[in-house]
Amino acid sequence: MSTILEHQYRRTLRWYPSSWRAQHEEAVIGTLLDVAEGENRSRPRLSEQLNLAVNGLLTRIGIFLPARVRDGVAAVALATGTAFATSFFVFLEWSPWTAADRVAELPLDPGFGPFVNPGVIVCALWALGFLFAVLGRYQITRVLMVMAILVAVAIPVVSHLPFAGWVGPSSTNLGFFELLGALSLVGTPPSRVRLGIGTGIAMAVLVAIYKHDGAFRPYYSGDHFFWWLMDTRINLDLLLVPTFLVAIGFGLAGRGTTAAVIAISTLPWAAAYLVVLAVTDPVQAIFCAAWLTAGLSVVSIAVLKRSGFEIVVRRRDDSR
Amino acid sequence: MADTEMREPTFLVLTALANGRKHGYALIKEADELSGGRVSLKVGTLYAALDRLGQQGLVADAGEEVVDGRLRRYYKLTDEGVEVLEREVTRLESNAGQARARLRLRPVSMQAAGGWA
Repeated sequence: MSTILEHQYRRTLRWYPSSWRAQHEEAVIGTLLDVAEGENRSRPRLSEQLNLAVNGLLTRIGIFLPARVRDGVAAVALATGTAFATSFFVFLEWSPWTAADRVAELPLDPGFGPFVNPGVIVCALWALGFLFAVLGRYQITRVLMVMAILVAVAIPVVSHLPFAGWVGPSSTNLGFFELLGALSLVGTPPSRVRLGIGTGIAMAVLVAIYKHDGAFRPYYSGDHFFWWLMDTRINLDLLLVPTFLVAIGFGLAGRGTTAAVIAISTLPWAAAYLVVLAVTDPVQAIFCAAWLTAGLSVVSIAVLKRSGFEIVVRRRDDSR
Repeated sequence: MADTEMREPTFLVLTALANGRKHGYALIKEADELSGGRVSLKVGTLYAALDRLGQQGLVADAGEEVVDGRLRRYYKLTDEGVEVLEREVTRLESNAGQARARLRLRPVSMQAAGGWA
């Protein structure tokens, strides 16, 4: 019986990279079998297998991204995602001051209760996820973030059903939530205080942007409002350039973790912005994608150079 | 380590190692006991924590042995691990002391009413 159990555990451990397994597999198998014996079990628990799968994947990611980088990226994603979800909820999902205009503009829109569309579920999951993270219950936050991703993936499918027909959320917004949700899962925010402060700052910036561009007027702005602002009024690539320069500066100063966190955290914003640009101005989108790739490459080289890595290119000698 | 919060599973693993080296299963059982059954560490979570603590220099390998055909790898606290755990215990004691002092200062009328009016 123990052999079958051991075989099942070994199969589950394939989620881990081979280098990690070579070092730890026997000790982990011993512990897993001890735990199973202690609980008088002859089969692995599903929760145990899921836990091994998640940790195995994180260990694989950890080969390229150290834990400190992953934790920083997760913290920024959770802070900015919560701020985005909250502002999205207030200004675009609920916005009671635009209700009359919305009915006039979209008389056939079924709505989603008092809200515009089911994007409110994604926003609520983000808010709950943040709340549990601040309480230090990161496992619950992770479950809620996975649920937020799944709901964001399901909404466009359900929207096509006869009873639905909601206007939005747009695939750009849903994709943005999915990317931020995925990044929030790669680590654990290192400090709850800094997570709270970061979320507050991000929220204040987003509210200021919405307010500055008239989101409190009694006219319904539509689901694309935020990205329209980024495209036409704010020109996000002018903000992304200094961000990458700051990341390169940190990389050259030997602050590789900070540089990597900044560079990776800008990716969801850059991706969503590129999608919007590709629709309105494909040439600028290609230009923007090119410099983003170049910026990311320079940050990576700066970080690798300062961390003592050396990339050696050798020509293979086939003459022998 | 100083600029980041210590999470409960990490605190429990370090505490379990405070009185000597232990292997994986012993750490899981001890974390369960220390937390009064509240924290049940999964094997994947435990080894992720040990990996991380090892990288931070707080925990080190302390030998291996084979029992009933199963490999048991032992772990121990490093000097830095002891220092970090001591700092965390002092911080928790200070917080608990302040909470206790404030509870003692609670007005008698509020205690009799059983809470806020």
